[in-house]
Parts: sequence; structure tokens; C-alpha cells
Amino acid sequence: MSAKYRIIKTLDAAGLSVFEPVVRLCTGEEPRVQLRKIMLFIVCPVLAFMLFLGIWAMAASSIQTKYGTVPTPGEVWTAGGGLMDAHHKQRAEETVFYKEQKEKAVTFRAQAAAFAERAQAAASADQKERMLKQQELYEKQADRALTARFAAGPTYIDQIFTSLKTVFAGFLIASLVAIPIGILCGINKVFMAAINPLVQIFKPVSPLAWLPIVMIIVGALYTTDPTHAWFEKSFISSAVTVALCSLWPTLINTALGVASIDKDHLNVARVLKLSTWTKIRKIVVPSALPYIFAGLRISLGVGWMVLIAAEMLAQNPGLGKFVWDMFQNGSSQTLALIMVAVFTIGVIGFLLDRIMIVLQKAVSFDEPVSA
Amino acid sequence: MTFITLNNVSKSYGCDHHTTQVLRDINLDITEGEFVAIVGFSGSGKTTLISLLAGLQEADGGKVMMHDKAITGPGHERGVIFQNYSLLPWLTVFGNIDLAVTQAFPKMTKAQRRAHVEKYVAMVNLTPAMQKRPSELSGGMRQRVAIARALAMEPEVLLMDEPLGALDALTRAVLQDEIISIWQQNRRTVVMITNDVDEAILMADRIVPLTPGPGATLGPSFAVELARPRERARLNFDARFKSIRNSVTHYLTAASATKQSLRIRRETPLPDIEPRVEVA
Repeated sequence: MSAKYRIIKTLDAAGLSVFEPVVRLCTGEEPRVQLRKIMLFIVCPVLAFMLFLGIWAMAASSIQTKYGTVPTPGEVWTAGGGLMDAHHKQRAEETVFYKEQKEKAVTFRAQAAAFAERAQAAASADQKERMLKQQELYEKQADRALTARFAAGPTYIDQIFTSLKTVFAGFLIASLVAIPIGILCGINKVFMAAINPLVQIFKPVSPLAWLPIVMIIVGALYTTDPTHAWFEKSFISSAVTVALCSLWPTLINTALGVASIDKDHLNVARVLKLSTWTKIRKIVVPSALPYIFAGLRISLGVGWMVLIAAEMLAQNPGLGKFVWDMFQNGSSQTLALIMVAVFTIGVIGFLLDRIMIVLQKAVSFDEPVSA
Repeated sequence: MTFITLNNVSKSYGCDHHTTQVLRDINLDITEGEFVAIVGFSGSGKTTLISLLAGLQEADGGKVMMHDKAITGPGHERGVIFQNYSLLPWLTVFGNIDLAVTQAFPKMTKAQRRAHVEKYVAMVNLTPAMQKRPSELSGGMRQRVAIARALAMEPEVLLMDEPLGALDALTRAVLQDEIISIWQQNRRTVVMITNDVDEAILMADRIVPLTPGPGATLGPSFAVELARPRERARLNFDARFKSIRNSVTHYLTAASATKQSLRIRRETPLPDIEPRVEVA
């Protein structure tokens, strides 16, 4: 009994309440109601998706492009599998490569040690010097073997992770900027009035317009030597562009949340004589948190959408660049691979949104969040 | 020496040309340890009056004084209990009270604070619900939390704005008894606003009626000289109870009737006209 409710509660907290009727059905609770819910929320979407695949498969073969016919779902699936295979193959090669390099280094070191010994035992100073030189040479070769990098482009999986890293970096920058400014806007009417036109003007600007500006400015400011830099320039440009485009929903929502704080709660703050800072920490921010998270959820969605465009242009190794590269390659696989990317982007975007819903639910204190 | 004094206090709302006077000529002296109930119709400015005492609003005219010093803002010596509880929904019962205690007693250590909060939670019989959030509590329990929060700051005076107004009759009776018993333990000064004459007689030492607004003012005080503890069941048959209830009710209904009769008629007589028919 309690286990059932614990499972349901966990599902709900994880944003998977769709499967709640399955749990209830397994415990025999109102089978007809549960079956109807399962039909509606699980079977129905699955059927619709299959219908979509069917129509796609039928329509695909009739469209002839310069890269051949439009791929069917099956071909896209195979292309996706191919990408995974390529990834695993490359990883395997990589491990083999590093193993070999390590072995090489060991042999070089052994050689170096041998020469060192021979140097010790050398008869003349001239010979000793020659031996030492040989030793040094082998030491260097061992070092080189160890520092050698496996030369290969990023695999599809690598690119997915680069994209995720970039979007989270941008999202983090956006949150760090938007939440404090939003709070200030909500608290201070003067600040709100001052900043409102800026927000309204910059909010609708496309990432494609921001990117060149960002690239030029990042290029001018980020002059760290590339071999020592923590981040690549293209990474920073993409992340900043994502931040610039995705900070607005959070900013506006935070301001709204702070401005619409319950008057009773402010009265409590006054009666308790909370200092401004305590008031913000203990009353304003907690009460605005559901709004803030609603804004963050929209921001992350926008950021993920913007990222692909930014990566395409900035040539930051990620999904956007992958799409662009495939487009430029123009092989018979082009369309299938781009479609794989489209589905990957879609699924990841969906998962990110789910995560945000779960977080949003965790911080809201009364009303349930609409999914 | 009086404890709280209201001297010719008036308060209006609205801007320059469109003001509505809510309170006028408010005069009231409250002595220390007294339980005063202010009874009035809804909309007569009771909440405004308590806001003035709490320092949440400032009077337009007259003086609101405590210890012969003007009240200029909220203070920890005045605890306020709002009608709608005003608990912070993201904090637990403990958290809500702890926030107030931290403010009122900044020098307490964490352990002292914990003990202090627990003491007041126990006083309102909420110890089992200490880690619950307001949304998990019933209305009566929420108001208990609000009472505990106000009491935990150990104010000199407790200002209650229709504290039991939103509760059902049974919960109300239970909470009335609890408030009285808590009050009897430490005899703090209490100013309670209510629209229930019976409640006022049951709880207060003195009842002050507030005439209907706009321009509400306080009527003559009615002392409630019934021995404590007052038992609800027996009060109904008590002649003095009946007489106080009758006089307070009578005063208020009479004040309301006067107000009605004094209302200026805003009907404009229209001219009796007929269209002129012109014959061509």
C-alpha cells in the first residue's frame, strides 16, 4: 500500500506521472479508469508517433533530391546506428593508441636506462658524453610518446556533450545575470522603468545577429594563449550568444515574480522588521522561486534552440557544427545524418524541459505546475 | 500611567481631491495587562485601526502613542496576528516561528532559539506538526502558528485583527479558549478586533464599539465585569452577559441606523418634460 504511493510519488516528482495509471493498474485499482488513462496518455501518443513514421516512410521515397531520395525512418535509424558504431570504433582505436604509446614510452625509457648504465661504465669521457646524449634522446622520445594525442575529430557523442556543455555554460551566465537584475527590477520601480526599454529592444534579437558581435568582442577580449586557455574561443562565443538570447525570459519572470509577491508576506517582513537583505533572502526570493524557475525553464528551451544556430556559425564543435558539416559534405548519407541530429536535438530538448519541470515542482510550494 | 494612547486619531484614504475618511476622533487609553476588544461592522475601518497601532500605517492626524512615545513604525514590542494568518508557505511551522525569533532575539544561540520556538509551538499544541508546511495544516492550525509566531517574539502588546474570523464556529470556540488561557498565563496587553459580540464578551475585559464607516469613531467603552474563567455554556444564562450583549448590540445597531438616516440623498430630480410636437 505505502510502497505503491511511494512509487507514484517518485514518478510524480520525476515528471513521469504518465506512468501513474500503470502502477495503479498493477495494484488492481479501478482497472477501467486506469485502462482508459493508459489508452489516452500512453497508447494514443505511441500510435500517433507510429502513424507519423508511416506517413514519413511513404512520403520519403517520392521526393528525389540531389543526394538521392529522402531517407525513410529505417534509414535514419541505421544512420544513427552508424554514428554510434563510429563512436565506439573510434573510442576503441583511441584506447589502443594510448596503450601502444604507453608501451612505446616504456621501451624508450628502458633504452634510456640502458644508455645511462653504459655511460656509467664508459671508458672515455668522449664515449660517456655520446651515451648521455643517446639517453637524453630516448627520454625525449618517451615523453613525446606519452604526450601524443590521438588525432581524430570529435565523434557524434562528443559533439552532443560539447553542445550540452555549451548550453549549460550559456544558461549559467544567463541565470547569473538575469536573476539578480530581475530581482532588482521587481523591487525597485525606478530600476524597472529604466531597464524596461532595453529589455524590450534586445529580447526579440535573433542569435544570428548577436553572434558576429559576440565573436568580434570575444576575439578582442579573450587573448589568452590558445594552448593554455581553459576554453576555446568558439565555445565562449557560442555560450555568450546563448546567454544573450536566453536571459530574457528569466529576467522578465523574476521581475514579475518579485513584483507580485503577496502583500501579506511583505507585511510580515515589516512587522518582523527584517532588514532589506534578509527580506530579499527570506521572503522575496522564496516567494518568487516558482516564477524564477518557470522563467529558467523557458530560458533553457530558448538556449538550446539558439545553441544549434550559434554553433553552426561559430564552428564550435557541437551538434550545430555537425549539421553544418554534413550539409557541406553532401554525401548520400547527408539527409539521414542531419535527421539523426534533428531527433537528437529534439529528444535532448525534451529531456532538458522535463528536468526543469521537475525542479520547478520541487520549489513551488502550493500550486501544481502545468506540464 | 496608560500604556497605549490614541489621541484624536484620524485616517483617510485616497489622493488630494478624492479622500474618504475612514477613522476620525479616535480616542482610546489602554492600560497594561488589559484585554480590549474592538467590535464593529465589517468595512468600518477596524483593520486600519490595528494597522495604525502596529505601525504599518501612519495616522493623518492625532497621536498614536505607546509608553508616551509616538508609534512611527512596526516594532518587536507589538506583535501582530493577521486575519489571514500570513504564514510563509515555503517555511515549516518551525521555520515560520524561527524567522520571527531570530529577528526578535538576535543574540540567541541556535540551541536557545530552538528551545524557544519549541516552547511556543508546544503552547499552541502544535508540536506534532512542527515540521509541516502551512499548506498541510487546517485553518485553525495555521492561526495557531500565527499566534505562536507573535507570542514567541514576546511582545508587550498583542494586536489581533479578527484572528478567528475565517474559522468555523467549533474551531473558533477551541481557539478562543486557548487564547484566553495563554493570555491568563502571562497577562500581556491584548487589543483584539472582532465582529462577534459574544466572542468579545467571552474574552475581553473591555469592549469598545467602532461605529460604522466612513468616518468611523469609537463609542463608549463597555466594561465586562464577569469573573474568569468564563464558561461559554453558563454565560448564556448569565444576566450580566445578556445585558452587556444587549447594550453593545443595541449601541452598534443604533449607530448604524443613525448613519443610514444621515446619509445624504444623492437623487437628482429629473425635470418632467414632454416632447414638443411641431405641426408643419
